[in-house]
Amino acid sequence: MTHALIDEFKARLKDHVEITDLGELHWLLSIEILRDRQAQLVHLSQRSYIDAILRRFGFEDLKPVSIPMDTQKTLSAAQSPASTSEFAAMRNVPYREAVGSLMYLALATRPDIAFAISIVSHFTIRPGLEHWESVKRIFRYLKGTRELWLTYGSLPGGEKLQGYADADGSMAEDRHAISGYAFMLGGGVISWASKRQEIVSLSTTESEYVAITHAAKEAKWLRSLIAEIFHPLVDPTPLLSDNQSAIALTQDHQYHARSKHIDIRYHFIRWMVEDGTIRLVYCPTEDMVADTLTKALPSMKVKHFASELGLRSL
Amino acid sequence: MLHAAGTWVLKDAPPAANIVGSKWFFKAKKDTSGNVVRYKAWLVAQGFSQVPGIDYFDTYAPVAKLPSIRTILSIATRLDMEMHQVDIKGAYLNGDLTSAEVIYMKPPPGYAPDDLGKQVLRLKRTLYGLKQSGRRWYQKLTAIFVNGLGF
Repeated sequence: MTHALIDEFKARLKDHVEITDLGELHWLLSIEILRDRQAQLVHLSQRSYIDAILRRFGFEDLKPVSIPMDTQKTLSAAQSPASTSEFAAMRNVPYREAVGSLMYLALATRPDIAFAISIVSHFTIRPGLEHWESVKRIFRYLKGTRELWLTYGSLPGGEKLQGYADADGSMAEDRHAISGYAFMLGGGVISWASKRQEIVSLSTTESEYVAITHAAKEAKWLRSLIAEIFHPLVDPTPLLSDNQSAIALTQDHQYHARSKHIDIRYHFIRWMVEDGTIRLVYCPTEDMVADTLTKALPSMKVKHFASELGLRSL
Repeated sequence: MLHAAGTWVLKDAPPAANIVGSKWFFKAKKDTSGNVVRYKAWLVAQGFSQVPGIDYFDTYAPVAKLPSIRTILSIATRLDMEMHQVDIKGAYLNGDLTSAEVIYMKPPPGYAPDDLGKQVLRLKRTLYGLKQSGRRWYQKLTAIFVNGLGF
């Protein structure tokens, strides 16, 4: 029945345009798609793309590493070249091209490098050797993890859409915190972001609040997408945060002396709680998967969160 | 392919008309081990020489967001739905230019029918490189889905 419908659709499309029937979905925008109908799983990988960019930048022989970003090192604009010789050393380095090609991975199938990419991309205007070393480390990390597949399907706990929002501002030299969010569905992350906040926060509560707002907007959009294509979601989408006071702020209309400086547009989130779009839920930091989208983590946590986000070896 | 699609007609351009440049773009298609399997040639219009408000108007067209694609993949897999793909050959060549979009293009290098003279190509359909190609193709595909296939 379904096959007959698909064949009919293709045949009718052929009346209007010339098509090549590529059969079952297996390749999309440089993403390899493996489907296991028995287990009801789908696996996504950009390993050929990883190989291609390693080759393009001559990084095939780099030694693999287990984390995409050094936890000890802080990148800053102060490491940008200042002297003529430092500029000369960077002249032929394809920094922007390398960051650009990593960006596509971070957007498509690799949330585990999203934070590292967002950091190195701050220095594309005047990159220095330290910045370039950090870019190389991402390539080395990918070399060691090219066999991680982003997996979705009939996995435990995957029935419902659920979001995580987190913020971290401790390492930013300019005091702009980083927002991170991850939305899980079918056992894997379907939407994620790691983004420098536009405002300078005066407290961690405020920056967590901004991160929650950023995530709440995405929740609203995802819910309308799912409603349009599949079915409307009745229950509010749980949005997990590890900051109790930020959660309290979303539920309380009272004017707090310590929070009245928070920009009015960030209170948008209160309406979304009231109209049943989202529901704020506390989550302990060790289970906060969006942590990996806001800071550099040690190897054990990088592995743990990557796997929690649905990046698995076959 | 281009001729069959009725992409252009030969015309004398009015004296003040803007003539958009054209160019051939060549590529050797390789298989996974790097052997050349096919040579491809595209004729592209040099969209940078188009004049806004005369040669083109709106150029926006929707693009699928990656989160949408992943959301659909995730849900469709759980529901054990069929997922198929088709490639539309020369997709952009299917777009129609509107009557307001009178575009003249320089004949590409090597294209010289006997009676060409001073004539140029008056475009009927979109080509790769034109500013409005993405939008016109999107509109065409929407029309096919809505009017042709009843979605």
